[in-house]
Amino acid sequence: MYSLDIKNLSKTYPSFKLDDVSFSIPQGYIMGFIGENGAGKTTTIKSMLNVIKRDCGDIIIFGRHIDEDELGIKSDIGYVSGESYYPKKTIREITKVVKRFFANWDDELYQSLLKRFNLNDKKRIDELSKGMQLKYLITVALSHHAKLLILDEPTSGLDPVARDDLLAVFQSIVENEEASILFSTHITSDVEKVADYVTFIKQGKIVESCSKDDLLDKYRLVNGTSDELSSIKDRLISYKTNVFGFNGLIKTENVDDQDTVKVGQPGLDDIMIYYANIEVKA
Amino acid sequence: MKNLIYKELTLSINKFFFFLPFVLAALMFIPNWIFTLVFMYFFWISVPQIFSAYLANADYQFSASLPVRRIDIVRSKSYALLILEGLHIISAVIFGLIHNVIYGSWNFFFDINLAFFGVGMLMYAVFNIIFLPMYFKTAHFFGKATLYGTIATLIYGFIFEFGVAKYAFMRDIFEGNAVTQAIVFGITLGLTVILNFIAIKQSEKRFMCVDL
Repeated sequence: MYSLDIKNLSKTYPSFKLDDVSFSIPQGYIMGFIGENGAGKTTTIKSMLNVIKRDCGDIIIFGRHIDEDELGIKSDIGYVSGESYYPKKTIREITKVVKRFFANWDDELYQSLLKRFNLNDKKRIDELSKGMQLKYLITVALSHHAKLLILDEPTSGLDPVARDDLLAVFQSIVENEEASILFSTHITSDVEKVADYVTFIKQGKIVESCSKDDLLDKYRLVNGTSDELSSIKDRLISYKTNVFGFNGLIKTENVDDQDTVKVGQPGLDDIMIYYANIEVKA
Repeated sequence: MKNLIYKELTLSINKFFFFLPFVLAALMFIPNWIFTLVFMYFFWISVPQIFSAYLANADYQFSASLPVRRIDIVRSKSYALLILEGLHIISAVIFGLIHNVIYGSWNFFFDINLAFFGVGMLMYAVFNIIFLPMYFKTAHFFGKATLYGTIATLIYGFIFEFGVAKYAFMRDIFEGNAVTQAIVFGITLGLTVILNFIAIKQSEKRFMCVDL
């Protein structure tokens, strides 16, 4: 069963188009939603939650269509947009309001999570570091037993230690709460660390959406001399030349046994960068 | 819906704005004054502050993270505004009655009487029908909506204050006997309800198309 199933989601702005976006997250898994800045990650997330109005497309969460049971679905979701709300209010003041919206709010769990994350509920939001603010928002999401956490750029702006700490929290959520997580980011190393599935978006279109291992298996990094470039050029997704020759990205299926170039394993970073570089090749 | 109104009254709107009506109503103690101004401070002080705080606190993003309907976001904010306007009316009634006990009811401009409070109520509704639909078209820009609403209420207030001071027929209607005043109050109350109803419905319609 899928926690989230998006089909043919589209949204058109004068200067940007989210074009026929489709992907799904199996229950109990973490999906990294990657793409460069302005690729459409936030627009996708906001469109699927009706925060912005989509032009078309079906959003099915826990088997229910969002247009038919928006309130019920949102009660089962924890949405963290990465922005901090009411910075001059204390954690206690905000929670007092938020908990009223969730019928299955678990105060005992909330208190235990505050302790676990070392959060003092007398502190104002702007007294917390970015990492602690995120932990508070995650605490709120978990305290109403959210089955799906949607986090928009949760790790951007955090130092490596705070990011690692947060990623460990994600993993424990999936293990202990059996929840699914969709988190968007342009920091691909975070995705490589914790995600089971990856969806890659570029200029409003989905390039890939599959398991992380499958995605990495689909591509190869190649490098060779300028002479070798001419024989492989047409099969490359994109490439960069340098004084020694070239580096490029190729689909694994397009690698030929006859090729003399060096072939290596790309990271998500490489795949994203070479896709961004397609215009250079053209 | 109940929870959203609770959010507005306890989290979104600063407590200061619930005390302000009582502080401003003390202006009713000024003898021989243009008392419709007492109601207008709400447009000049409270409205811009409250609606800029929504921006500063990322209130709509906060609301979007909660399981609520869009329509209820509009209604809760509109009802909170009506509650504040109600507080201004109630406090003005209290201080107005005291004013009349101290100074008597005669005023060069509009007397403090039942018709005056009806006209005051309708002034809030005039502001609401301009401000709310214009604001909820973006749920972001409140400056132009506040300005237009304020200009309309200044003209509205001027018509009544000047009219009562200048023309006998207006004095007969708005400062007449208790029955005439009750009729004026009844009509303004009815118009207030209708205008606020239209203002909220229009706002709901416009907010449906807003990308938060």
